[in-house]
Amino acid sequence: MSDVNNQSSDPTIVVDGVSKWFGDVMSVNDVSLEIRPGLTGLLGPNGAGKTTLLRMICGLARPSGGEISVLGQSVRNNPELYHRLGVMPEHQSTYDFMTGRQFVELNGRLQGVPHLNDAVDQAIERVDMLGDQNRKLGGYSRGMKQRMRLAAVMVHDPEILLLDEPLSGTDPRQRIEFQDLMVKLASEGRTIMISSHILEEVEAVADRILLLVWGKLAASGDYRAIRQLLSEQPYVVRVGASDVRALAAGLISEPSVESISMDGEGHIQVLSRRMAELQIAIPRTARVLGIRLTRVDPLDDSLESVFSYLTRR
Amino acid sequence: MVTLFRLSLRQMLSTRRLLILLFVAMVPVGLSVIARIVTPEDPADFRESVLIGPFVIAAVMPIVTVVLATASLGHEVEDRTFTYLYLKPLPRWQLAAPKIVAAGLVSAVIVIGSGVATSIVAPGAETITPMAIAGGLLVGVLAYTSVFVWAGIVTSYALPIGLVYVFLWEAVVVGFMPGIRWLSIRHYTQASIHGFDNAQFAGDAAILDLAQALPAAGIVIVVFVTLTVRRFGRMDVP
Repeated sequence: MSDVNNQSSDPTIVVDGVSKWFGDVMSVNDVSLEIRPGLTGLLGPNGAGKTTLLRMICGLARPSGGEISVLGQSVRNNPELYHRLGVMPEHQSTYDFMTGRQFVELNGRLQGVPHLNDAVDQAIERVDMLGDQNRKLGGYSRGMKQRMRLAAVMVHDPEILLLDEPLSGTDPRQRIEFQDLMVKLASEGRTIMISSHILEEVEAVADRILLLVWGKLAASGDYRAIRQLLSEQPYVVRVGASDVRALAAGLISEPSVESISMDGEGHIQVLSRRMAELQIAIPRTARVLGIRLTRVDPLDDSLESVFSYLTRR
Repeated sequence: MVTLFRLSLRQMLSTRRLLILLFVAMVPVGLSVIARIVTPEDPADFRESVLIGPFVIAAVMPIVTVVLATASLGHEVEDRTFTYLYLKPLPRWQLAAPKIVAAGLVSAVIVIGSGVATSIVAPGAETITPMAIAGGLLVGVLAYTSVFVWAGIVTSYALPIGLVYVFLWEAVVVGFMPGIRWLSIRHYTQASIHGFDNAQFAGDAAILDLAQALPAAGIVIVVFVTLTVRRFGRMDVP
């Protein structure tokens, strides 16, 4: 694992050698990490084990091995801890027969929130849903439902927020508002953990990023350092042109090109660690040589391949 | 607890499922109206061995109770709304109790309403009979509810398993092997009705004593309510 950052404050969440098996499938594999106050992004491709890890941290799932403590206590079978914990699960299920306000009220009531009406008003206002609070949840758009679920999570003003894919279904404006809200909540000393499979979603707000790949922690640290790691990954670009051999000869001298090979379909595959420069070099070389480009496809640029690169380091 | 109880009642009372169960509960009442008009040769025997036994005790009570009990927590788990309840700072028994009580209450109202209405409308009913039937059905409803609320969170096949228990185990297997009637909630119900009104099911030589049936039903209720609460501490909540 690449650990590229250390923090000084005491951890609020400690995950120590945690694994989770589902039959023969290992979903989380011997993960150890510490989460401190501030905003932490849990990043990884779909199926990386993010949701399972979050579910174990909040006590919904029992680890097959290892230990988890939240605020110094075991979370499993410790319902009192939920006074201090707010969890937004990945799934979007709600009681669709309720209005948004009734749903937030239900959560506040079950949390034993004093001055319930004021707390509900404040939580709904924070997610900018006052205007739609009396509509049925079943009639909400996905983004509206996410926001009302977030209000329900915040109604008891928890110290720790665990949010699984909270930006799913939100539009760009809601995303920015959500990010602003998270930054504000984190600045008040809360521990906030947000999972996502999209780096850009969390890097704008997270102080620290954890990369989970195939159930293992691939890297953790400041998002800039993670970005740097990601930028060092070699990329492969497939290029088709009217004269691929001449283009290859022209490109090989470019500093951004590490190697060039032919594939079996008459295209060249260009390996590079400097994608930004390569994106300029390919059309420039083609223009200079009078070659017509027929295709330029980045290969292997999925999050899965980025993460898999990090795990091989 | 009151909040969860009200939520549970609202979930149960706002479904089409309830209308279907009410229809099922009305079947023996309708038959007793017909019996009242055509008057069978032996009204008391017809009431017991046709209406109350096979319809109310063997069909309406288990169908209504098993359907409502398996749904009360089972549907929350399947719909994944159970996480909202589980992640609250409540003792785990306070999650189970309102669900069990709500399922038991709604089932009891439907089943006892059906049984009492059937016994009142049917020809030849005596004053004590509806009360005995109500008491016996209450015992059965509580026992079925506690078992099948638990089953609802243990398996997603709780409803079919419940129907197999009712219509294969209780109706067929126990019928052939009376020695295992200890493991039949239907027999606790019949024994309770017989205990409250000796005239009912008097011809059933294999019937349990009230002093046996009530403690047995009580043990079933306590054991399965305990198992439900314990299950919350061990399960992975989807």
